[in-house]
Amino acid sequence: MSRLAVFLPRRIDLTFLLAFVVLTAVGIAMVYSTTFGTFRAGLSGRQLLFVVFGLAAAAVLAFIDYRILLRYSPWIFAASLLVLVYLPLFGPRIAGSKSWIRLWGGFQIQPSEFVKLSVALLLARLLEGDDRPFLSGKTVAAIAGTIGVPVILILLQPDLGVALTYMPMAGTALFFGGLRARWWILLIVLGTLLVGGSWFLLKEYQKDRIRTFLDPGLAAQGAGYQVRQARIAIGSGGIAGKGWMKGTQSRLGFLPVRHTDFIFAALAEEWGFLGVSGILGLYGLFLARGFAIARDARDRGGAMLTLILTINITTEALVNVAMNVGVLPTTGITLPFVSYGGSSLIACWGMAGLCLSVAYRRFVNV
Amino acid sequence: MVCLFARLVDLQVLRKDDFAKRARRQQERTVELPPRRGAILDREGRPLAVTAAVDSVFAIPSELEEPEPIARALSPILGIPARDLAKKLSDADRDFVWLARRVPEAVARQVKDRRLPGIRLLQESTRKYPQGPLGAALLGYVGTDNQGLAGLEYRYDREIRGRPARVTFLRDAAQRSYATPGRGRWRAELGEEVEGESLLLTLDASIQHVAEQELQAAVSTWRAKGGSVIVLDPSDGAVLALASAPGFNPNRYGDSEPEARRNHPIADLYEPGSTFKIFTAGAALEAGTVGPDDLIDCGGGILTIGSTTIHEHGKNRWGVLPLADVIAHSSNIGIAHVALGLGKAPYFRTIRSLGFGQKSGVDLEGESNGLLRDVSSWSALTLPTMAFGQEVGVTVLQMARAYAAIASGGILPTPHLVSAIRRADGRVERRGPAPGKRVLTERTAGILRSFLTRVVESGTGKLSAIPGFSVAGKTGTAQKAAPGGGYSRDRFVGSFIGFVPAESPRVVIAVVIDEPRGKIYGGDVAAPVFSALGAETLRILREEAHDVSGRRTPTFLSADLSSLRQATIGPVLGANVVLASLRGWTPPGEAAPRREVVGEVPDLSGLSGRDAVRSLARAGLGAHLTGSGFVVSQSPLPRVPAEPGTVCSVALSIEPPPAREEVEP
Repeated sequence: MSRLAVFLPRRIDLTFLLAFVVLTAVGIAMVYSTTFGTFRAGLSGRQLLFVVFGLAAAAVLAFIDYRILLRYSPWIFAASLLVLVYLPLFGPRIAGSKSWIRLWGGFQIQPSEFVKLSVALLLARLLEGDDRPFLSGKTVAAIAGTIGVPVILILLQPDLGVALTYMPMAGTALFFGGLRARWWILLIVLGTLLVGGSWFLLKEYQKDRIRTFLDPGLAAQGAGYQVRQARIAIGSGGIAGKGWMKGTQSRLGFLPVRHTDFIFAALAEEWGFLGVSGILGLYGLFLARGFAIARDARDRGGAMLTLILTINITTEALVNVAMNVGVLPTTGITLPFVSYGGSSLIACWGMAGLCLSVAYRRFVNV
Repeated sequence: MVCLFARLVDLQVLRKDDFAKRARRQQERTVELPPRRGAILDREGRPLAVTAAVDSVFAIPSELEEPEPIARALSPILGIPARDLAKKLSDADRDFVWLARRVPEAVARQVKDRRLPGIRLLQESTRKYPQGPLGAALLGYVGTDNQGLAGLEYRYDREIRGRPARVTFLRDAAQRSYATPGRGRWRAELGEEVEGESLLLTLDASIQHVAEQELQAAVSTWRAKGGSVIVLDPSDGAVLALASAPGFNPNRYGDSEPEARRNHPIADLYEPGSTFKIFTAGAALEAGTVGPDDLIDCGGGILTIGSTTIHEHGKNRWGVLPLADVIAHSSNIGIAHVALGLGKAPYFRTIRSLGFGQKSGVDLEGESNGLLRDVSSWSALTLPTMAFGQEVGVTVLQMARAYAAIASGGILPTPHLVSAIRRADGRVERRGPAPGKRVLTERTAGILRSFLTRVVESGTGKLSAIPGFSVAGKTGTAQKAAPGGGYSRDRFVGSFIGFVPAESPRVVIAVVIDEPRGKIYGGDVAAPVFSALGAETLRILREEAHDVSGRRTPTFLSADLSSLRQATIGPVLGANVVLASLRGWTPPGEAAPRREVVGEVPDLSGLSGRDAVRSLARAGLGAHLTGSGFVVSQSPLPRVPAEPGTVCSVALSIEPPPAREEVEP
């Protein structure tokens, strides 16, 4: 034990740990504030319980050698695909989509959040097996399949928000794997066409969100309402904020889904520009430590795994913030570590655990 | 990343005030609690319009654990179905909900006595006119939101209204109000309320009462359509009484016809007829085209201008009359000759300077300009007929004012009703019009006064005489203009306008009866009203003539028990106010007077001035009252032995003392 006390602090990346622990703590405080006095008042306690599960997931994943996980990643990926196939066919329909599996005790999990881990592991393994300056066509195809198949299955649920959170992983894998310029151009053109074409596949409420994003005045009380109220919450917070538990926008119920998707706006209202800068700083720190872990990783697989996971989490955070401040259209993307939601929180802690595992095993001669 | 930061700086730093304002706008609801409206008091401080407290019932649902039994208990008291109450009470998130507004006192007392948890009373205010219809035309009335809608209530609304207290509640996205949202630590902001200012009038409620009574009597005797009376102090234009018939009760103004609410003496135009002749004489005297002793050609009863022939009234035919008798006998032809001798332009100038064709400037709403056409549009008939009061439209107030110019020696005063405004902090600010302008020379005014005196002594106005006083005045009987042009044969306006005492006039009184039936002459229908009202007015004014500091602000009134008169006035409408105004009026329910022992000073505390005087009188004592309102101190003290006839000093204050059982009606 005493040996553990000596080397654990040296081998566990404490700054990285601190960053997401503080973010999680801020999240619990904000869930408490945004649900206080409402019928959701118990959610902050549940979020605390999820942290325990998240801690367990992180601990298990940190102490299993990630190389073992990489080796078995095709099987893990295959197993998670089975779950994703099961859901649209047999899953219960909750709030319009079949994204959930009901567990005992009123809890339910959202497998698509956890599948991200298996996708990241498989991507890291694919990149490890192709270490030339530029990726081979075969690897690119494999990457596309690794991302594409689960995304399509998730879109069948349907859950556009979560499906979009897979996209940064593709970008990261291709970028760090290495891709010729002409391929990038092709990708961008295809992506644009895809986004444009997908307009016809979007549901009406999703189209509304994009329309109101482009013109918030379009539907003052309708779909633009969320965006407008979020902006009022953020703006009225000012520099120093109104103080914890004193955010009138959120406490008086003007701010929609304030404990999940719009928790950033609630935070901005209560903690102001200074608090928000601190939160963004924590994500910056998280990303920076992720890069450091990747740099120091003992192998290409570990480095790629860390990059994919940390970039994915920070990108999701940025997209959520962009959505809150009205720079991007509203999609159901949560603020990692902060928003209420067990699956998202436990999955994020699991991802962080994988990164810690890479950091833990950075020394070759142990 | 940079883009997000820029956006955050934009929202939270650069535009933060804008967003804070938008947040407040949707999160706060400001409720205005109306302030206590200032009172309107007559010249002796007797309340004509007051603000009385009424209770409203509200609940604090968040304090209630069991709404059902409370709803069942309240239901019979408020007369609201228990189901409806329970529904309001069970919204446990709310901190405030009205259950019943402005409930009767008995209901409020029952609610208070039950002491139900979470059920409270809030005092609101309501306007009461304790004198009922007295002075309604000039007081006006207020709407449900305590805003003045007519008369002084409207004209002085800004002063009387006060500043409301603002209570800011927070409200949530579902539009529910919270004093303390989510039972957190926020508080509703409470703005300060400023009570309205009180108006002190020149009006004398006693004179007003007599004026209304006499006017009403004449209107019913002669089955007239309506009538007007104005009592004016000629020295400064102070309106002592202004009566308009038919009247209405401002406490229930909604029940009356709009026509009844019209302030006839200032809003209605009529052709004055013979009462106008004195101004024609005045204009000619001013210009020097006739002298006071000149003989005037009355043409044997006929004056032909073009194709039109002017006759005298009745079957009178005069050859030549002295100017004084032209007025006294009211010769149309004679005064027409006087006007023709003067000429259009100088005549118009004098008439105009006497205030005709323009507002008098009285501080009331709805005053008419009158109708005085410009000389350029006069026909050949205009000058000779305007000489005896045709082709000119006047208000009763304009006539009273112009007579006041004669009474005051040539100075035209500005009529006014408000003599002072008392602020909520007790400071009193004098209000009054600019001093009047000279419009006639003192000599002319003197001659006209003597002419008018003759009218009463030996002319058409004999019925206006007041025993013991010399009266100056003029009768008028004018045909009303017929709808299709020309003059009506059966619709008349009978009037008498004059002043008393003739040598040093204290009051100008104008009496106008609209469409009397049976008798039509002003000398018959209006002059007796003048006589009765004049006598009563002089008696009322003489009582305060002891006061050397000026009539506008009496500092005491002495008790003249012999003058107690039974007034017929509606009961006070549930307000906690007892009036001192109508002497001798006993409020219902005051059956058990306090014990007064002869030879001992009674306890007067909290009594109205009137009650104090009566109480002292029953104990055989005299009274010397200071101030107005309710007794706040007395000397000698209660229960002190006193010789019969001893005069007690009693100080009154307008603020009623805490209500006592005996004085509540």
